[in-house]
Amino acid sequence: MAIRIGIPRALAYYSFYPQWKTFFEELGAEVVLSPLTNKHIVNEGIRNTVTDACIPIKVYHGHVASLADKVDYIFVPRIVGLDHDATLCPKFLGLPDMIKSSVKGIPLLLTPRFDVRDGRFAPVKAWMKVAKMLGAGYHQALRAYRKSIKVKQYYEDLLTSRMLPEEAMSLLDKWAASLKDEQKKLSDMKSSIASARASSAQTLESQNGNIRLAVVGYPYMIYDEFVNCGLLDTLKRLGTTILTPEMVPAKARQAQAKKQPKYLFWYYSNQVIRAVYYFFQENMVDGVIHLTAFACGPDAMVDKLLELDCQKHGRIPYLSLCLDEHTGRAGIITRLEAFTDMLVRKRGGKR
Amino acid sequence: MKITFPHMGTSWIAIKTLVEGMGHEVVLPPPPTKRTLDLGTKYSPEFACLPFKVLLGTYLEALELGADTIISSGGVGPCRAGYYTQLQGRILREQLGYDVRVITFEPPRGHLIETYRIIRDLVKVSFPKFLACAWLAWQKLLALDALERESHRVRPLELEKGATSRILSQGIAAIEKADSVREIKNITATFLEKFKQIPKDSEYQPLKVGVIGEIYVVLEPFVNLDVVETLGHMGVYVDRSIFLTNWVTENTFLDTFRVEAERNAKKAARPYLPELVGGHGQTSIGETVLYAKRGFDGVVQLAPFTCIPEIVAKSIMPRVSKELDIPVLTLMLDEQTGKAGIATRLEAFVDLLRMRRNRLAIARGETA
Ligand code: SF4
Ligand code: SF4
Repeated sequence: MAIRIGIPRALAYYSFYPQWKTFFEELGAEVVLSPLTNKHIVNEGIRNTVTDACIPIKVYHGHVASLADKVDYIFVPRIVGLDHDATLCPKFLGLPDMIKSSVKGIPLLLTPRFDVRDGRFAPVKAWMKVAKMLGAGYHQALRAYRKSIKVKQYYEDLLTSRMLPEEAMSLLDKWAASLKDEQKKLSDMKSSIASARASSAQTLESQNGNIRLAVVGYPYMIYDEFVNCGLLDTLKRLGTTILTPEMVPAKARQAQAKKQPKYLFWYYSNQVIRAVYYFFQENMVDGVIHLTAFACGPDAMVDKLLELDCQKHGRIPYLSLCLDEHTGRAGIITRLEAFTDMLVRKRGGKR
Repeated sequence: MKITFPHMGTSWIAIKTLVEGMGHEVVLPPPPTKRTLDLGTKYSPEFACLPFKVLLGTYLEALELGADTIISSGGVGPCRAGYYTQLQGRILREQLGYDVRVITFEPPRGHLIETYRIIRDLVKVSFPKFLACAWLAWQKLLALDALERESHRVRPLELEKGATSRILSQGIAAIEKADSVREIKNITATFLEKFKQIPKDSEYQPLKVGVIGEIYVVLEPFVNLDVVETLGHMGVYVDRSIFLTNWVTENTFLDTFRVEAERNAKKAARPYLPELVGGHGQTSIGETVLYAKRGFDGVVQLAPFTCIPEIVAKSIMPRVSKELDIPVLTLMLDEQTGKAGIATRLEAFVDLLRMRRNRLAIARGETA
């Protein structure tokens, strides 16, 4: 029977799942994804963490617990550095250790350490080590790695076409299952991306009259619908057009780095700030909504910076939403309605 | 220029000497109080760490007293302290409209030229004169640490409660006024002798507790609500791994020759937390391991609420505590924490340690 590898649907999942999944499946393993975040998972997470942990970390623990008796390994990577400007939040750095100390009765953990600052080939080496642990040969592993990187690129292309992660992931799944002919598969993917881009541009054009909102924060806050009480849906229902950091191509984000007098020390925080600077530069948004986690260390800084920057940049309206496990849907909806109403009024329009 | 700087324990004595030695007027901020914290909290992000709030409050109070320049240390991640002055400067200027210059000393590693430029601009006296002052400041730090360290040893044994603290504060005041290295050495010797003269209960075997955690809350009695003194008065010998001089070595080029104790702590942490997580997270784990190995009765971990590295450490602590059989009490401090609450928790913890010690003694066949 194939080795079953569990992947918690939380934290870096939103940035890397297609890549991870491809890699493990190419090695012949079966990937088991934890379910969408739900009440039970959140409660399990709370039970297994110290009270001071932020909600995304609690949720992650809950996802790990939900996989415990279903798989042979759980994939809990130690993601340290994704670029040369910063590391990730220290909670990502200590994640495997926190899981080991907190969640009872879990199977073996796969905890490769990823840090691009250790050299250009450090990530490949880390993946090769994982493959070896799972008993795969060198060539098979290398092939799996190459393919996983390609899929990651497709995934990011879809996201920058303003597709949301779950949608992009299911498209990639369909694509992976569909054709046998690799060459045709490739052209198929390319045309999918092209058409996604075209339709995204078209929608943006047709929604020209809509209020445009930058919805920023860490991917695991913006895209976890349970944690954020269906924020994106609510905003769509309110007739707004949404722009998230993942919709800005990585290069365009990086180009904004020079506007930061000093980089923040956390990868995702820099992405948030840079995306907002990009939206400002391109005059793309009428307002900014920042989604933060209760007691999140990095966000205490990011939130204030965004507030000051919005003020500085022609007083762009700014809404900060702080979420924890007690956040109620109704409260969020009321605040979003009030915010969009204000933007509509500011524009002098009616709804 | 009227220069001010943040408070951290008694460090102001040395920093004042240093800045005055550069030829500037110093605006000494009042020691942090409830008002400082209230002011700081009012203008800080809600989840900023406690040091951020106290520091911002301190700057506001110093600005009221006429300061126009703030000097502070920077630091590189992965922790928030390295971004403090960036954000505090913007809050003071953009939000509150102060015309204030904020000078940040980054650790010279990688910023050597910048550091040199800042110092060159700041120093208004001849360089040898400045170096002499820097040396004097460093000697003051060493003396302050020496007296403080001794006070931890003496306090649990004193017969008259408060005697140690009284002599300590006299000593601190004397060091502040000293203006030659010779004088500092004399003062240190005199006060170490005075500590010896304090009437003690020499039979008494105090419990031994290690105090670890985030450096600022460990060093600033105002924010840790006098944990060290409180424990001392409960008859506990406190070993603190962090002293002022550690802070200097961490924030200057001396960092390059990592202090040995710290290296050992990091090594000891490895089985539980192999990764640096910023701040003192990894060291906190390592020090707990070392205290356990040295036969300490317990460990108190101090951390500001929302402190990222210490939360990571706290999550791992139960495993360390269980495997090495050492009780750990974590105190997360925020602006609402009260002294009475802390004292109660410390008392309960110390009771637990006493019972544990007796139990272990009986198990070893000794009578308690
Ligand atoms: S960045 Fe904030 S929300 Fe994310 S793991 Fe760190 S503390 Fe938690
Ligand atoms: S170590 Fe803790 S208190 Fe210090 S900057 Fe980091 S989060 Fe703040």
